[in-house]
Amino acid sequence: MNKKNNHAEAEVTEEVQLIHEKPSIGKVLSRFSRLGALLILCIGISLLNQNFLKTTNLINVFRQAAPQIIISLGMTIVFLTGGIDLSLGSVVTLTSVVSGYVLTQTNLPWWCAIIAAVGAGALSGFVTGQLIAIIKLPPAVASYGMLWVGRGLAFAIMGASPFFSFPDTFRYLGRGYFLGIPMPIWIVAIIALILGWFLKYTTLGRSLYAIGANPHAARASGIKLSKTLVSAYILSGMLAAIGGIILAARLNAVDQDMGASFLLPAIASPVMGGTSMAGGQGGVAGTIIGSLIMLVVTNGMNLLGINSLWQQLVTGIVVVLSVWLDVIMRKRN
Amino acid sequence: MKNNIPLLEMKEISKSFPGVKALDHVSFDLFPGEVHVLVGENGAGKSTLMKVLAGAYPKDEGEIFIDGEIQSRWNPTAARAQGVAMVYQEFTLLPFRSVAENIFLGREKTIAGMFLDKTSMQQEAGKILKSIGVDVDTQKPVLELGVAEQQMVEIAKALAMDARILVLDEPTSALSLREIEQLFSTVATLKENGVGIIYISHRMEELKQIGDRVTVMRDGQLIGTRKVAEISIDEVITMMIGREINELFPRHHCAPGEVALSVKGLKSGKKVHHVDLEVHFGEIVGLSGLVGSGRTETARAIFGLDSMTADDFEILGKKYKHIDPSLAVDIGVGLIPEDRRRDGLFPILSMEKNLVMVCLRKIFPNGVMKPSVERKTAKEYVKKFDIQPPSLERIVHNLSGGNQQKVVIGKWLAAKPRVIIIDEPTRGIDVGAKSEVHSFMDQLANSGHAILMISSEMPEILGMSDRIYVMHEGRVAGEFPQGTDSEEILRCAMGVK
Ligand SMILES: Nc1ncnc2c1ncn2[C@@H]1O[C@H](COP(=O)(O)OP(=O)(O)OP(=O)(O)O)[C@@H](O)[C@H]1O
Ligand SMILES: [Mg+2]
Repeated sequence: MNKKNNHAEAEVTEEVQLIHEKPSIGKVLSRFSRLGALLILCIGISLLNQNFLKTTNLINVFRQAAPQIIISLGMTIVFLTGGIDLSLGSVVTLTSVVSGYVLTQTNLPWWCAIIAAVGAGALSGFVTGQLIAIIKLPPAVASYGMLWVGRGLAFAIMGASPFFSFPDTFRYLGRGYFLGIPMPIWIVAIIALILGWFLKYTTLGRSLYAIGANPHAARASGIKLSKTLVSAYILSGMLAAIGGIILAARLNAVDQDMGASFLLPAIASPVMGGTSMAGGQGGVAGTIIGSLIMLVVTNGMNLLGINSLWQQLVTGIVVVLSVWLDVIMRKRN
Repeated sequence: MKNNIPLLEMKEISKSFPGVKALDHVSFDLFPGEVHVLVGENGAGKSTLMKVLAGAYPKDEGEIFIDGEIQSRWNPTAARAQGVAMVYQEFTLLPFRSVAENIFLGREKTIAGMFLDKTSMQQEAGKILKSIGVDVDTQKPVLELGVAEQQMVEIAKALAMDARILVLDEPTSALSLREIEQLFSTVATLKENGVGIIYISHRMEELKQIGDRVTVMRDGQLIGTRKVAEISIDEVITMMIGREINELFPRHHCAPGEVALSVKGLKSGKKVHHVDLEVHFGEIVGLSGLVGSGRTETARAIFGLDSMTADDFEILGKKYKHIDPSLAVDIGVGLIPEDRRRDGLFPILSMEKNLVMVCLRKIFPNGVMKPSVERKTAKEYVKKFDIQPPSLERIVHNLSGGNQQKVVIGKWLAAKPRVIIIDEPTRGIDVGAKSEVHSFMDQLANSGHAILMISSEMPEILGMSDRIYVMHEGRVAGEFPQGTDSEEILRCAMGVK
């Protein structure tokens, strides 16, 4: 088509010369900026308090972070499609209550509790997804409705008294160790690997990005919009359920408000990790780093004995700063 | 050139993007009352030069003079204050806002400096649109407009700015003859009023129609500036691509085979009332008509993008009652859509991801992708259409307009459909690449594919089609064999018997 073709013919080569663009310094920086921020934060805190870098503390931070990370990963999936799932916090409550019910009010074995909880998470995701894909409600509205439905159901199942004292096999999921590493960390690692693989190497994963990047073009490219959207919400519901199970197992009790506090960090973590709420951009690694930044900040402030009023202020500032940094880095490219 | 001082002078402008020198010491000038045409291959740097002029991109080097005065601080505000108005190649309209709001975006009229003066904005918008021969409801959201109408609104928006320097970046690629004539007469009026016009187009015939001077760019460099009266189109093309192009319309007609697609009594939305058509394997069937005659809507309905009903709907020997895009893809139908930005591209995803988006489910039926296969497929189509720069990781948003078009075409052909509906196949593509796309279509047809081609370019319809359907107000108004003259087709398209 232009002069380059003539050369190609002369050489009778079949290969195209692809250009592999070296990522610019800005790009590399922005890719590692979040990891860098996390490291700097850790170094800073450890300078102020020696206890921070102790393995016991770090493992503890990570273990406590596990449910938050898993729930944030669920939100990440929904963000990729350009949606939002405000019901995740209440799904955490609902699913942990479901598992508590099965464990204490029935004679079923402990693993039935897990199946029931994950099933409940999937179901609520399915309903939210249908409302969005078929009835065409905006994601925020559909999931806000689900938020209240989930809460109501949790109340109804639990009645007046909370469920507590679960069997040891179940509690192992939240408190146990395997090869010296807490179970919640194993679970996070396995989920992160599977999810990372799913998003990168499956056509369904790719379709999630496509829908977020341009839903019109996705439909015109033969992607089944409703099916894909619904599966995104089912997945995020199931992840919230797993988060809920770990939480219940660690606390050895469930009550009606345990999930609510997870929602806002689950929105902030992916964004801090570079997942765009507009859809089509982001991934697992970023969200994990984003969640860790938030948790390290909280843990650091606890260790330093900062009062909780200030803690909230600082958390807010950290969220805004890190997103701002990200926006600047992206602009520079 | 009534005046000695140029209205605009750009001297030795350079601009680089990471890995690309998009402009390499390019100089350009413009006199009042002149149409200066800017041509060059896809990715030559035309749009980039204009974005520098509009202040949208900062320049790395070089100077800009307006009325002979050097402009030290150049940014979008300064450009606008100096009377530069742009019609960008990519549409910049806000889809959910009304036509009038878009036309006055950022310069809203107010009452007492506080309240939006909607009525007067609507009236004025209506007046401007009428002056360029467009009849759309100014309260309609832009979302509901076709591509041609959107283009005219873009032009109206630029006109509303009372520009001294008007840049039109491929304004006609989405328009059909009637709108183009209107646009040209508007340009003539502006010229008389002393406005300087920079005009970018890949349609060579337009050069002679409205150009005073022409500047040719290649690979970010200035090749030369000539007076249009003193140069032939062939010479311009040679300057552009460094060689002559062989054949404009390389169609080798062959005997058609079985019926591949047959619709009878197709109805869809407000624009398609009754369409009967048939496409055979081995055939390129042209679908002609004025903008708004329902051609694009017919294509969308056949592909299942819009809902439709039909008395009889048969594809590849099977009858269907309903169809949706994913079914269409599965049975081997492809639609290269008119609105490439909206329905074709994933601007924030890489070229590789864009190119394999349709064929993904075909080449990986069990849902698990192999990166090496994905890469190989993408590479094949980068090569086939010579997409520049051939860098698979590049975000499609950062490709030049013409290369984005090639990505959309490549993405569809990668899925190897047997029935191909192609809406404006060579829109925004340079002359060299155009003949390449045409010969590719020719090969596809002759190797047994069925092609339905919508085109507003009469030479393309006449040169490429084996048979031509003409639509008028939502109906197929006539069917013509290859070799019919354009007068007859035009008369049919206008509804004259
Ligand atoms: N935002 C950007 N980031 C990186 N590269 C860019 C960007 N915009 C343009 N380019 C590159 O600059 C070069 C010139 O692009 P430009 O859009 O000016 O071409 P053009 O002459 O307008 O082509 P076309 O006829 O296809 O519209 C191309 O190689 C393109 O890939
Ligand atoms: Mg361009």
